[in-house]
Amino acid sequence: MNLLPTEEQQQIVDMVRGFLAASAPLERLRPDKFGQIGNPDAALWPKMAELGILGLGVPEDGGGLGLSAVEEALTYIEFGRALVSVGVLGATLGAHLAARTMPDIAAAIMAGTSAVGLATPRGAVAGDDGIFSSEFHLIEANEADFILLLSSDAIALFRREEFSRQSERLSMDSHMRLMRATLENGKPLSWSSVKDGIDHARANLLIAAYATGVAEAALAGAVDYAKVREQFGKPIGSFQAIKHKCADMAIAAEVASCQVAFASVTLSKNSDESRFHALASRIVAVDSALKNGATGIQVHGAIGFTAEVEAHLFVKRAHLIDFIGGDQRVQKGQFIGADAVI
Amino acid sequence: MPRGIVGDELVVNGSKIWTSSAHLADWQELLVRTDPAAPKHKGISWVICDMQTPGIELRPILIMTAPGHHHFNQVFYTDVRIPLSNVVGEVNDGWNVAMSTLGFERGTAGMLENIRYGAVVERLVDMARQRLGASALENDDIGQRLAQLRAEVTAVRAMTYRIASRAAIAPPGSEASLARAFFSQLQQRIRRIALDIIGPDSIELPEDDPWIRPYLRTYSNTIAAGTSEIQRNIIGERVLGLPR
Ligand SMILES: Cc1cc2nc3c(=O)[nH]c(=O)nc-3n(C[C@H](O)[C@H](O)[C@H](O)COP(=O)(O)OP(=O)(O)OC[C@H]3O[C@@H](n4cnc5c(N)ncnc54)[C@H](O)[C@@H]3O)c2cc1C
Repeated sequence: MNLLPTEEQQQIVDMVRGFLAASAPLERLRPDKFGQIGNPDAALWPKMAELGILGLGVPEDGGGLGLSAVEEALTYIEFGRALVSVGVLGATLGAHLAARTMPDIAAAIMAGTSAVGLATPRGAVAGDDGIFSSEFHLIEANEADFILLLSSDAIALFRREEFSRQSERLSMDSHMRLMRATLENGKPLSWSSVKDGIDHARANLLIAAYATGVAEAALAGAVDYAKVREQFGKPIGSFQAIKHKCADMAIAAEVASCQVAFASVTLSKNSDESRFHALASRIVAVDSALKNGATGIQVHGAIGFTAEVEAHLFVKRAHLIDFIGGDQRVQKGQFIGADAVI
Repeated sequence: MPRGIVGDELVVNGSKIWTSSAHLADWQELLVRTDPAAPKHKGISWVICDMQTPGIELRPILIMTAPGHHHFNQVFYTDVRIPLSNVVGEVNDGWNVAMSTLGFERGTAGMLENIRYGAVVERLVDMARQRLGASALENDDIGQRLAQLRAEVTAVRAMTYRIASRAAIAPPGSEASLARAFFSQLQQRIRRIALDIIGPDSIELPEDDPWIRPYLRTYSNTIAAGTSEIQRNIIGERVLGLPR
């Protein structure tokens, strides 16, 4: 098994990275550029659609590019690195679900003309035979036509109107739009259970890949700063207390990226093992993102506590993605209940 | 006392501590200084030495895992003569030879251990399910930690695949330290949780003990083949390019 990207895969990574560097540099999230509240990325979707990025892994006969989970995971690492709005997850997963039975909706999502918000449960979800009831958080739903619900048991695509009592909230990660909302016997357009199929594995894999990108970007920011910031006449990166923190961040990022790569290969082969490996990748990668986000602030000192550099953004985004579809506590409970794949 | 190259032989005098399994070995790898004038990493040669050569004496060193356990030795060399033809690589170029063997020790040689540790975690999961009950485990702190360990040991296997993928292109370099540093600490966490699952009986050391000796042994994992601190120096300086 080769866990390094092929030449063609590397070209896709370079294309996405180049696009994001030009259209979504991290500096866009500084208070003097965008302000601190709201989604700065709404304008990206049509441009990403033009490049085919929103339907990258959707089969060709469903209107997508027909690439595999390996390419999808690689692009999601780039999304994480650039802290692209997590609304992108709604688009990718929504397009996958819609492409099977609702080609028009899938086409609108992949064209970037219909946005898909995310719904993530605030408590237990009652959902038998595809009828769902619970309290939810809606993420990036304000301009969305559709909502992708992700819980630890199911993944389902709804029209936004199915959610009642929508009320806005300010979020800890303020570079996005948050609401509370309710589903009462909500009927999805399409759904699948965690037990049948690969949709859930794909959701966990893409969350893991995004988290890996967050962990890598937090590492890169800390290392760059440790090379230039001087104290006591030396760059702080020459102090072992800082150097070893950076080394730990590098280890955490490598752990995440390797397991994401491995899980993406098993998913691309439709292997039975893919659910286990995708969940493992989610657990290690979200852990890495949380740790690197926190350590990155410490390496920066007081400037890391300000909104004027990016350091604080990573830990907040890490907390946000942790809760999408169930946090680490929920995921680990599910993972330890499952049979191992060795 | 003569030292260094004499005719077509290397004459070795001195001692070396921490040689694993010297009391069991037929041969050993030896790094010896052959050019006393050269700076520290230069002037060293890598030679393979027959343990039966006259002038070699051992002092056994007992270790912490259990009374009487003998793992490594201090080895004394008095006028030990080794044929020059046993030098691997060039004379005085031993540091480079050692770095490539160490790259494998830190990287690919761990492969079998990775797989084995996956099975160790599953034995711990079984033991915890038996003692706590399968459904209680999902909400218990031990279950949460085991889930994390299971995910991490799965990831270590993926890290090994990546090292192997890289090794197909070039010999393992400094990045091998990423997996090595992670795995050595992971082994400690995995062995440590056994005591929490076993409970009070873990202060016993039964003859057929499968958990306590292996747990104590993991204290050496962050020391041997370069301590965790040295691995972090390597990662910081050679992988991340931080200043010395
Ligand atoms: C089980 C086992 C088997 C071994 N087998 C062999 C063998 O077969 N052959 C062989 O040659 N050797 C062997 N070793 C020796 C091993 O390579 C050394 O123990 C190891 O390199 C550390 O050196 P030291 O013990 O002198 O510790 P020291 O170097 O004295 O270190 C003590 C502490 O200081 C820290 N430290 C030291 N230098 C730095 C630094 N620059 N920056 C930050 N922290 C630092 C260390 O990390 C450690 O925590 C073995 C060791 C063990 C435990």
